Amino acid sequence: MASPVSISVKSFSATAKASVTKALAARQAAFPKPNYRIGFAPPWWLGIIIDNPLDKVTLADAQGLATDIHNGAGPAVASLVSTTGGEPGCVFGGGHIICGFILPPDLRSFVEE
Amino acid sequence: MARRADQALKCPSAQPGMGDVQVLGVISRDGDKPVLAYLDEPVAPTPEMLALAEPLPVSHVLRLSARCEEKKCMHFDGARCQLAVRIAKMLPEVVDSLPACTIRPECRWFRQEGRAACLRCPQIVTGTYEADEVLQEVCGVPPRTDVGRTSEA
Repeated sequence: MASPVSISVKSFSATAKASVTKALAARQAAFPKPNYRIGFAPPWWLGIIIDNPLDKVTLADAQGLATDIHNGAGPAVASLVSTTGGEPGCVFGGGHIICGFILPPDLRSFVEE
Repeated sequence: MARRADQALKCPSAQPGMGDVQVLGVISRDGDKPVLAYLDEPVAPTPEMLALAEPLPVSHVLRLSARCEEKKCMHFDGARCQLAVRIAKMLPEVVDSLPACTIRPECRWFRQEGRAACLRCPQIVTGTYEADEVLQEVCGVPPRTDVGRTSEA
């Protein structure tokens, strides 16, 4: 069994950067050949639809991607979502995954600047 | 002087924005599974430190501790943290000795579950995105169904 790992404050930055790099690489590996369509179902949902017939993409993968989409949405969308409570999420069904973020109920439309 | 039992306890799996937040450590991804590398001294997170996690959520890169919110938290049943109970009961030990943890004397999980919590603590990543089914169950997340919603635990 492994021993506990401890780091110093001096190595904090390097360890954190390495963690981010590896997490992103692992996430990218989960979607080696993206097969997706951009979807927007006004007024509820903005995100992508992934064909997943072999069920290779897990709920955790999809939740991570949904968060990426939420975090990386265009500035106009992001500011609206952050102030009105949009929520990243995903739906599995019928051999595909819809993942992205749910628009707040009171947000009926937006304009990308 | 406050008695030990009266001290405010700390949550070792906290979110930014909670009270008295400190960085407990960094999620190291050098092995097969993410594991917490404990910081050797308590550090209050600065905006620059939190920004290091971008574009990932902070909780995927850092483990934060904060004041236990007790009744405001979904895991607190009025007397005990049920998340700590499930961790001690359901997860395997992942280290062979107690980690060098800066909050142990005030840690809710340690105060409640003792050494059993500490030997399992390093595998916890706040939030559930990378969690397998057992870990999701421990976190109190419903098992995978047709509909999944992102949720932080």
